[in-house]
Amino acid sequence: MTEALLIDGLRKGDERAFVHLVDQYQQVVGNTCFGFVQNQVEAEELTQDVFVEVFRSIEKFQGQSKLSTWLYRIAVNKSLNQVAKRKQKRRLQTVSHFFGFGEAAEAREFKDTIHRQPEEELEQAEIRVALRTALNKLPEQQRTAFVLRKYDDLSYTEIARIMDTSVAAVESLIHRASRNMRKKLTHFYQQYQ
Amino acid sequence: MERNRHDDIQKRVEHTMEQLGKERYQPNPFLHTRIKAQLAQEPVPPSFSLRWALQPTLVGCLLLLNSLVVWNYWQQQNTDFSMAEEYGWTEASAEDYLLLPDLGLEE
Repeated sequence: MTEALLIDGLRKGDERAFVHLVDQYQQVVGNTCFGFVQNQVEAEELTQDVFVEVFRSIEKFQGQSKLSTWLYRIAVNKSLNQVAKRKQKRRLQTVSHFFGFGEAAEAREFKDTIHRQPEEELEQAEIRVALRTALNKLPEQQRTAFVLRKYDDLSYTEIARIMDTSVAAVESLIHRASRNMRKKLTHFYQQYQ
Repeated sequence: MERNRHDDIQKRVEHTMEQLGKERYQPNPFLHTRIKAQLAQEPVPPSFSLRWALQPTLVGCLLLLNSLVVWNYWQQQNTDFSMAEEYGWTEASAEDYLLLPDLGLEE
């Protein structure tokens, strides 16, 4: 099915077009969401929300960019919003920790992960928490470029198109993100080792 | 001791960096069904045309309310003035202030 036919089918509410879109793009959309949230359940919920938004707003899609570019943009926006919501929730938890109720959110998440996971999954779970903590501390632009590169294997040109910026800017963002990730991870392991 | 700790942390950092992007999203074969259910369940948010129709109506209502308040205030002011005129309260007289004429009785 060509992209034009797919879009036309979606606009007409064709069931086959709907199934085709989900089958073709579930993995890439899911990878982007997973890169931001580092959690399968949250990534699945976000992927679902992305497709719901696509079906609801397909009329607004002008066709000036590729359908995949549009999908990536929606996935990035939804994921960033989700992370921002989570941060807000954490801030409230930190305030309650300050007043003596419970532990700091980050420390609790780390301890929970260590205690709940079976031995063989422990390392993977620890890495997931470390990556999530470090990624969430990167500036939004750096995080977006980095996730699209590492989790979707996109080229600098494709990332530039999605982020509506130049290839040189993407190169610089990824380079800075990589350097910052190492700093954040060092800080993370110093704190919790 | 401190040196060992530093090296150990650096190894863990590099190992974690290598893991970036290795774990991927696991597709859900029932995602179509879940999306369809969500689309059927959630009410469609109001369209732009409806929003554009509602906004001027709301602004109009506010303007009307404001005009009514101003009109009411102006009417009240006007009524007060007419009553004062009708009862001759607009000019104060010497009697009103109990001012008696000087009879030259003081030394």
